[in-house]
Amino acid sequence: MEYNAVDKVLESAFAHQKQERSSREIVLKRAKPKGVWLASAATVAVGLFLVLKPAPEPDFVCYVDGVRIENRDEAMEIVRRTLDKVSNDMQLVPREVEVVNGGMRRVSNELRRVNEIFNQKPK
Amino acid sequence: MVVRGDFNALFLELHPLIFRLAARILGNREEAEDACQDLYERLWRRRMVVVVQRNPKGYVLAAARNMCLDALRVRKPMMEIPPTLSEKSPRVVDDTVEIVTKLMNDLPEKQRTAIHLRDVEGMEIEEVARVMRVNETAVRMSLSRGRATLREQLTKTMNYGI
Repeated sequence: MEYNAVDKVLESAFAHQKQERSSREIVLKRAKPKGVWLASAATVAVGLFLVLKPAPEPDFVCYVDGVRIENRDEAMEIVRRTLDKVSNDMQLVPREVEVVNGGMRRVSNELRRVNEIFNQKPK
Repeated sequence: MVVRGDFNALFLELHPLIFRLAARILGNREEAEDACQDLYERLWRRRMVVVVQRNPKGYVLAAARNMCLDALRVRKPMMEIPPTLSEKSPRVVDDTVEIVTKLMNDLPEKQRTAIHLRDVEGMEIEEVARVMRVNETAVRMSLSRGRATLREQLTKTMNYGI
């Protein structure tokens, strides 16, 4: 594998890694005041703590070229554009076949000519 | 006085970054999420120290890294480490991202962390040095060695079977 190709693979993988997300979200939850806590704004703030709770899973997730996509419409648009391109490319194929056929006919004619030359009776 | 809003804003902004760093160092998502939770509780208790820092982001990331390193040190030696592609394993992994992630997990922690902060998170060398509590030369050396190893191992892996 070439050096540039390796770097491109690494770049793509790093971009994908940057999109990793924790499955938990941060929620600030107020602690219940206990006996030692005084009922003032400052000390109630001291009683706050963080809870990480599971984040809701997205309804739709897919990866295109290592990029995470969570929007179904966006993903379908990419699929549609890709299929359009494939369809256009496939329309080129009959033309390519015609070029090959033409080449084969020329080869066939040349072979016939060679055959005639080799089959000529010596004078 | 640190109000809840300030704390909330700082950690909501940094949480994805902290989680990814913890996951990279620990090599395990669940452990990383637990580490994040422990870190936030600890930093909340020290919030007066956090807010007076010139660079709260660097301070928090450095604290996250130190916490993860402590967790690595107390890991039980009998914990099974999954086979990686750097070993002679017949296991074939199709996903390129998974391949690169496993190769990164095989790197020494300093190289892994340097590459993660610089190449994945896009931090400047100076910032990476602050988080890792080393000088910029050390960061560059870790990056150079880590990248060379990644390229070499990835080339071997992608040519497997040819």
